Amino acid sequence: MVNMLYSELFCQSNFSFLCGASDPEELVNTAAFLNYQALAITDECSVAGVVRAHAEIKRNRLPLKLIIGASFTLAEEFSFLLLCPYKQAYSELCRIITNARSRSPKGEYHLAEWDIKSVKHCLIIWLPSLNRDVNLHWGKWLQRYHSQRCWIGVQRLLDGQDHHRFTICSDLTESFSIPLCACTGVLMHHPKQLPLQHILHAMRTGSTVDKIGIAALSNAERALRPLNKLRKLYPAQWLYETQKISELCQFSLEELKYQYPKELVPTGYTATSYLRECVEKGIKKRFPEGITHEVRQVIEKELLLIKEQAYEYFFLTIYDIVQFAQQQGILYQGRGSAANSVVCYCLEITAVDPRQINVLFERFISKERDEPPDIDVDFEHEKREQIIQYIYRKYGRQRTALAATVITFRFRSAFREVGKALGFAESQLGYVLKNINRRDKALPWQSQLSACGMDPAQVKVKQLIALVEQIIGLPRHLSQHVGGFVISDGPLHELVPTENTAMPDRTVIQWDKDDLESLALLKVDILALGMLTAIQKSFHLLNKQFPQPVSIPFITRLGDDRQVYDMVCKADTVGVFQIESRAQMTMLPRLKPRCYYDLVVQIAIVRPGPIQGEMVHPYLRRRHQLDPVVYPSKEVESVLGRTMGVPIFQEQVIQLAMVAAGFSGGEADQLRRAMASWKKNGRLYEFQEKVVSGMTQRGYDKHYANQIFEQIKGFGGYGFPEAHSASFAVLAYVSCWLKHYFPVEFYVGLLNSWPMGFYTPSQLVRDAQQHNIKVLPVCINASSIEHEVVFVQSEKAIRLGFTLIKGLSDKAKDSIVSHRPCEGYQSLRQIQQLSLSRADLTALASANAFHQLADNRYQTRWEMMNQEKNLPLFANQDSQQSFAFTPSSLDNLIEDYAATGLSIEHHPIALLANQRSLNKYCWSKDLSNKKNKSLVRIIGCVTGRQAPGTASGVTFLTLEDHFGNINVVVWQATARHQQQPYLKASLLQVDGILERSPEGVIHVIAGKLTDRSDWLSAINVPSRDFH
Amino acid sequence: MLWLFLDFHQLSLDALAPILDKEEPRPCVIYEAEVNQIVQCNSYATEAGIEVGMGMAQAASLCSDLSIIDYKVDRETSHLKILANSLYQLIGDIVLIPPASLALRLDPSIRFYDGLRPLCQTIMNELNQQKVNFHFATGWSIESAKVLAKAKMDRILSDQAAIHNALLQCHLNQTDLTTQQVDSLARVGIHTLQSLLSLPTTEIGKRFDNKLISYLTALRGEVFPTCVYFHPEEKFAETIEPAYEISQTQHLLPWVNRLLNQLAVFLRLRNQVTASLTLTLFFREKEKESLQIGSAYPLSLAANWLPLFELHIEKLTLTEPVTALGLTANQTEQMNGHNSDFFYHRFHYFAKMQLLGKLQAKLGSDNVCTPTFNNDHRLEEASPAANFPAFIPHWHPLFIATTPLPLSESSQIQFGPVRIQTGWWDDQDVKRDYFIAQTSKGELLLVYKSSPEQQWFIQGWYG
Amino acid sequence: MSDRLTHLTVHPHLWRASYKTSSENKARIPSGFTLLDSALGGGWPQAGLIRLRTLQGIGEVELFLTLLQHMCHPHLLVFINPPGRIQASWLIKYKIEPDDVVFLTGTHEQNLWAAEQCLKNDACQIVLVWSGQPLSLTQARRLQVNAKQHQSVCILFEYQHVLRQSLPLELDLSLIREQAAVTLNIEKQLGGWPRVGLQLTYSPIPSNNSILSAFTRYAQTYSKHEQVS
Repeated sequence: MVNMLYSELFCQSNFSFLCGASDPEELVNTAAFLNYQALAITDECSVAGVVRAHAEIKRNRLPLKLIIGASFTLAEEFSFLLLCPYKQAYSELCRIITNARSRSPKGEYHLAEWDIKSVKHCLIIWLPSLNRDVNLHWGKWLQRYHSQRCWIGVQRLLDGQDHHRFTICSDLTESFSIPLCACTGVLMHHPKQLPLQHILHAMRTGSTVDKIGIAALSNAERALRPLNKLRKLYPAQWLYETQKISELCQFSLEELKYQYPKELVPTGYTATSYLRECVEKGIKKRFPEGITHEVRQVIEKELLLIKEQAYEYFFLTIYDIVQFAQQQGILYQGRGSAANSVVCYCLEITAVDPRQINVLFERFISKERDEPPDIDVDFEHEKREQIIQYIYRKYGRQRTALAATVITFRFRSAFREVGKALGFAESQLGYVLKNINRRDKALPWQSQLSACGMDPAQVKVKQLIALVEQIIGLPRHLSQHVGGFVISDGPLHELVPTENTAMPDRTVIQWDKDDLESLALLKVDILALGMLTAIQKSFHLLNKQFPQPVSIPFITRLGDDRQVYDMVCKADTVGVFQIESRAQMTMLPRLKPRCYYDLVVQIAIVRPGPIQGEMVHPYLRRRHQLDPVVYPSKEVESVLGRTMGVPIFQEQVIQLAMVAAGFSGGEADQLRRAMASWKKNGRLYEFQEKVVSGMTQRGYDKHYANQIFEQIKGFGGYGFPEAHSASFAVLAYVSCWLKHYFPVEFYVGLLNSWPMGFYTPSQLVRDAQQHNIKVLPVCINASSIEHEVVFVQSEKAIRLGFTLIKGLSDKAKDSIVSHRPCEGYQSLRQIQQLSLSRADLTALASANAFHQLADNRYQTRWEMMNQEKNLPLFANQDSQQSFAFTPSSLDNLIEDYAATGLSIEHHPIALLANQRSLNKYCWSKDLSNKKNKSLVRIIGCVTGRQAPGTASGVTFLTLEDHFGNINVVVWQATARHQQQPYLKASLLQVDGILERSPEGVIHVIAGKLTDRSDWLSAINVPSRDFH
Repeated sequence: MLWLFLDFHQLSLDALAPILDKEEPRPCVIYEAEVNQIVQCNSYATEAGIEVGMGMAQAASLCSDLSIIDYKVDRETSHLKILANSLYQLIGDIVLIPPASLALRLDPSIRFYDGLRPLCQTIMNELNQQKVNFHFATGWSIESAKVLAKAKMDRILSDQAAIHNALLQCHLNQTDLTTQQVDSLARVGIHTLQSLLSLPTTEIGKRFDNKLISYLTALRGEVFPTCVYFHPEEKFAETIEPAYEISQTQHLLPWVNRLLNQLAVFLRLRNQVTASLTLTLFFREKEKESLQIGSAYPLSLAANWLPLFELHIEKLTLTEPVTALGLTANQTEQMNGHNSDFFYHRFHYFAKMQLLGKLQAKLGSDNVCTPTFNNDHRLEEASPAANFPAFIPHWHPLFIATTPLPLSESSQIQFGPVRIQTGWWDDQDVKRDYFIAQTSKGELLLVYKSSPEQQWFIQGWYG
Repeated sequence: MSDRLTHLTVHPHLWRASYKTSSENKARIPSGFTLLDSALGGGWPQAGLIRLRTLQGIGEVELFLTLLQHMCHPHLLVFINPPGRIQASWLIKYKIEPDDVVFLTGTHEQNLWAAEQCLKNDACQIVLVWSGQPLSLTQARRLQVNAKQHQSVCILFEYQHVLRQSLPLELDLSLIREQAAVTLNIEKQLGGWPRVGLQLTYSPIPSNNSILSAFTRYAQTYSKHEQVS
């Protein structure tokens, strides 16, 4: 029997969480290597791993058939497998899994006997238990209901129980004439995975490796075993039976065709005709003055392309959602490669007039790259739930669900859990985890262990390191994708099983977005963006004042405004979208963006991808004509021309591979996928040889080819797609425009949409004040719930609202505003009559909201604490005379921060200045007239610590004094041996050297750090550390 | 009334001090995981800038070779009981305030020591002898003394006026007020006891619960809440933490002797005897082990017990250093002639205990043992017993050779292979195929072929 | 005359050659092998010293299984000087509580002293002793007397290399095994005739038969009854 044919029918991947030890990819590769005929992936009540196996077989063109299936256990006594011979069987399997999963909380399943009694198509492989009477019962049951499609799976595991299994199975086949077949119950692709499987077992049972004892696998027989070994272990006929069963299984995932929801296209239309009609309608709206012949040509070309790729439904689905958002007045914005097209502009999916950004034109859906269209739609973060509920209402729970995200082991969870399973003490693991600096590029975590008291020479520590490296990236459990929706025509569980998530009434499918992509099933991303809420609120404020309604297209149509870009180049961008962080602020004056496309580059350039790829410096030098711009070839120029020969965007790197290294569309797509996940599985190196040889053949010198590959590696998962950067640039420009022309509305919009963005309300208010905008405190009579724009002597000012007060209940806010007499509250008792809770009253008092009625806030709070006061009987009594405590200006400052998180009148440093003589300190506003390289002494509250992952280990400190912010640069050495002030200080004095870059950006290089926190011990100024 | 309040602010550290100082002195803190706060730190730690109340991340970043010990309330309370016991010989009126404070009522005992000064001196000597750090103060009530102790006054005041104005200077967070109460008072500018006590109690009553009111009255000494005085245990159960971890068994004997003497005193006071004791050994990582030591007839004198303990201890092998020893008397009876009201089960238990005691005493306890279920696939590994094993391997023989013997005769395989490939986590990594073979003489042996040398070995016999 | 005779015949320590009327046969424990039970007059004796000359590992302990199971819980079952470490899984397989079992090893004298202590103590009813050297007459007599006096059983296992001595025993046996069956000789028994060549079939080990038969039966690759779904 030389060419013995064998198929393994019982195999679990690591998508049977904490049980299987190998990826679906490793399993199919090994099965093919051992020339199995077929491999069935049968994870426990799940098909989460089958798509990866399917994709791997397609990618490597493996000579192996994939059988789709799943394993189940009913009432801990009846274990069996279900395999799918054809499509109906697959839908049946999905239905059974969905029902079993829907009956129990996340991660568990509960089978009912009816589920399996109703099976009509799936093949059943019964795995009998060692208990005779249980087997008799189920044997009779199977003979009665499924005699035509049932086998008994016999396992030979050399665990001392094989003789029992053989006896039992032989008896069962005699009494119920159910045929026998061989199977293994594979849990690992290679015996060397056994330690990892033991660790997973220990984690699952919450014990340690040496204590799981005989419940654990006694050997590594549950691995994929070579055919000659199987021939010795199983009788020939049982092995042959597996081949017969696998020949019955013809179903492949390719047969899953995505049916779009039919109701999108009204009766009497085809998808194409309806799409055309919507586009025509859009043209009238978007181009009131009519469109030029050239634009018409582009539209026709795009529509043709959409028709060829049959993506009409995709655009119509998004069109429908976007229409709903418009009716509800929810601001939204589409982004992604397919978003930058005229058709999308006409369908009002994007707000960017493509004529302005014609440079991006030809990167619409490219046929030869065969990429599915990728459109994400951002909505106001407070209104996103409305959109989600609309989708659920429109398509029904049966036909829509969220895509899954596979939560994998990260370093911290891997280190802690593997350590616990190996028997390390928890306090030791916690201590080591606290001391490992994951940002230290020079020293990997493995070599930092000895510094934390773990001797790497020890066997146990070597095992810990090896197993942690192995387990990182392993799937841990399924969670829901942040916004990826799958919508189908028929019930979704015909396509893929769904299961419950931790969140109530949210269901998730068992596949993630990569799986959907490999099966060309489409998903729609519904995401939330804080800045959209802020812009919308600013628009509302403006539309109250001006007849002409302000909108994003209105602003973008005005073109690049010189004054707005002047403001951006001065890095006066606190509160603006995407370009407000410290690192961005230091880059803006160097890059000096002057037009829209410069903003697109600015957003993408300050990211780990370009920084690690060392692309920032060369780009700046070429932009300011310090270096000549040279291209090694015409093709490279066509790709990198718009960024002066330096690759900034992810698409550019891929286009380079196609243009310069001769990659086909499909290969380029593989490169994109490999780049995104190379940190996990290092697959990028397979492409190194291909890229370098491809380029050298086309005449590029080897050095340039290697440099390009290094840049590709540098991009890793961080390269920012140009399409997304372009859409973000629109919002960035709109927020800059608002900040320049309507600052008050801009700040109020921001404050009312907080928490969002990079800065705290205290920093936003300070920035407004520095732009000499008057900010009025919360007042019981003048404020409303939200922050407002008010006119003081015909000048716009910001009136802070009640939302600012910590601990004030919504009920209290409503009743204060609704019961407020037109002339306002005259006395404290009037307020007490509102029967607010004691906490509300004391919160209002401490925020000094009653400053119109009584100036001593201690006094008012003491009054408010009095419960009887609001009983009518005691109304007239007045007993303040015994209370004699008045807050000093420092006390008021402390109360302001405690009650509202910010203070309008005082700044801690200002208070300090009039308490002590601080004349030898230089304030932020005076730094500009100091000589470069001069010695300065500055002091301020530490409001930010940022270590932007630069190789040199520099960290940025932000000190804030009563005039503005100061950027302090701290070298790693300075930080390391002045750790106490560097880490602990909230009020810091820095003696250092002032450095002014040619573009005028000022930094203070820290020399001596002195902790002055005790001068202002009571205030806790919030600091944003190491985000 | 005059109360002395003793606040042992780093009792856990002091309890462990003798052990830590043995190794080279280095910064050490007691860390409470639930609230992620350092609760006690020794002098070296304070030098490195670590303060009580700091988080672990900050403390670890300030000093890299910090040794961290988890805060255990019950360990600190048990050490407090030991202190109370030692003080009980000097003064009767002791109030235990777990986890780390004691209040002593001085006035009834002043006449025995003819004067407050000598009384306090003897108390201080006893505490110094116990090598514990503490702050102390006196007051007319436990509450007032406690506030002054928390304010680290460390002076003996007996005259009312001096106590009064010392109290007024104290900050509110040194009192027993809850953090919310202290915070809401701070928000109206009241930070010290003086400003709080200056307010009329009726006004305070309107704004705070009456628990606070009763506390303030006790603070003023206007009323004396009842308190429960400390009395030593009814049943003898003592644990001792030796000055250093013990790894050789003979070093256990002096500590066992100390426990036996305490037992003897306990029994003599109560005119009782006991027939069976349990010696418990505590380890750092492993669970504790306890030894049943029975004597044929009830004993009380330490001298009688010691030989039996010596018998046992000699044969004990310590796999890990012992961090503490505990001794408990299981049943004690009045010492009155031989009482014989045993009923069958108790008789059987004693007969069994007696037989085992005799056999172990004669042959040594590690030669007399009970078979435990080996919760490990490897037959030679004697792992800790599993109380409910996952399944029973039916192919196991009755007898296992602890050291496998080479197989010389030719034999026929009857059963197998059973492949054992595990134990990678400790250095007894095993990869073996077991078979059951029958020799020409009919012997049924469990055998395996060792991998490198290809030599067959006998692992067990089917008796 | 006959009354004196009848008085003798009723005396517990006197037997007539032809039949057993001694009082203890009702106290016998059936061994599970009918042939052996009839030879022993009902089964294993509940008191006295039994010797078995045997090889190691031919099911010699399993022979006395019913006796062990009967005399065990709540009393102690003591193994003295066993040839290897006792596997708890074997005990649990045959429903013997491991906590009721104690095993000990010491010098030859210590073993005998321990056996005596166990026989005398009410907490223990059955003691199994392995001896590498022959027992002296007095040592055997002490064991036999103690066992009879305290109604407990002592089984002495002697391996072939030990010189055979005739000893005052309740029951003297020897055992050899060929394949799945054993041959048991009753060399001597108190109150009964010796019997030689008793054939008992029992096997203390699992076997591969079910696997081997599966290989023969399912060798061909075509299957007789084609399964078409």
